[in-house]
Amino acid sequence: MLGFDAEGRLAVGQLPFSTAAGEPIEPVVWQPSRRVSKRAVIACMVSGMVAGPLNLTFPTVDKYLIPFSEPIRLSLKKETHPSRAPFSAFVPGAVSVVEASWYAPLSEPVRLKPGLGAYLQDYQALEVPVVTPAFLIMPWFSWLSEPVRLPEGLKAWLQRDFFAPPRLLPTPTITATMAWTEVNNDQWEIVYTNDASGGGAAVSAKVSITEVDNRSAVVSLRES
Amino acid sequence: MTYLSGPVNIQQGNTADFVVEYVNATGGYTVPATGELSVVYTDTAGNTTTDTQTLTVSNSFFIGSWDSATAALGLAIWTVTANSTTVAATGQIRVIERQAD
Repeated sequence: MLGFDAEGRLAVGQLPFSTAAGEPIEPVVWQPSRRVSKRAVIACMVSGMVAGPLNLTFPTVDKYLIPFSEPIRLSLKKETHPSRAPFSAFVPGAVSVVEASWYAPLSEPVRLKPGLGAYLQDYQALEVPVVTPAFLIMPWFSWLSEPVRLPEGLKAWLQRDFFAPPRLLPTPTITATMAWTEVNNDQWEIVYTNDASGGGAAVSAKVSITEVDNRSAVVSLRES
Repeated sequence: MTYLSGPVNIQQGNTADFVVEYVNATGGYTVPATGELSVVYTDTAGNTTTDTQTLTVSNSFFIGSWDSATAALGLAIWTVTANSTTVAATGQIRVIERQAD
């Protein structure tokens, strides 16, 4: 028998694990004895008394396992844990407390929250402008219907090439020079001839007589 | 030579301005070296008087004037010559009484 005493309890000290160091293989819980109270057991441990094959030399509370019983889930407070309790000294060989829970086969499975898809983990470095397409829809003509409104064309500020940014500098002054060579010289001369100058001896004359009074006013005019 | 025109009435005391263009034998205008004007009239004293002057050249026009202040009522003969020798034209001026304005 593996340490079952007369009361039917299995001593922890005979389980296939070492309590001197390391974690217990199977969860062990404190099962209050129906016959012996825990305080009584502790009192026996402190006094050095032993019960059965159990070696009650552990400075901590011993635990008994009753096979096939419902495991009691034990959860100690953190502040009572030797490693977290303030002003507590480390006790070598002490049994560390383990929080254990059983897996429930019929429970709701844990859903993993999916992360952001790879196809979504991207960004657009360049701002892609939205180009308004110019289109024309020609349905059947209805005499009494609202006339089809043509959408406006591409806006002027969109009509540019992104590969060629808009010009920032003003257009410089462009001077075009045309040169040509003239061959031959064209000359023309206008000659005005006054027939009256040196036109021969005067043989007659045309005379106009204007009467002017003493106030320099023209009174009459007679021409020949 | 027949009178070119006339007689032209001039009120006594007014001035007659002459503008002369000389014509050659072919009917074209010519500009002689000099042009003269002479007016033969009877003055208020009853004496026959001749006023002669050289015409002023302006391009092809010869300009002159004659004052009838000292002329008596009656006819006066004007003569236009070229180069002081050739008589180009002649005419008459009638000096009449001054009319009320």
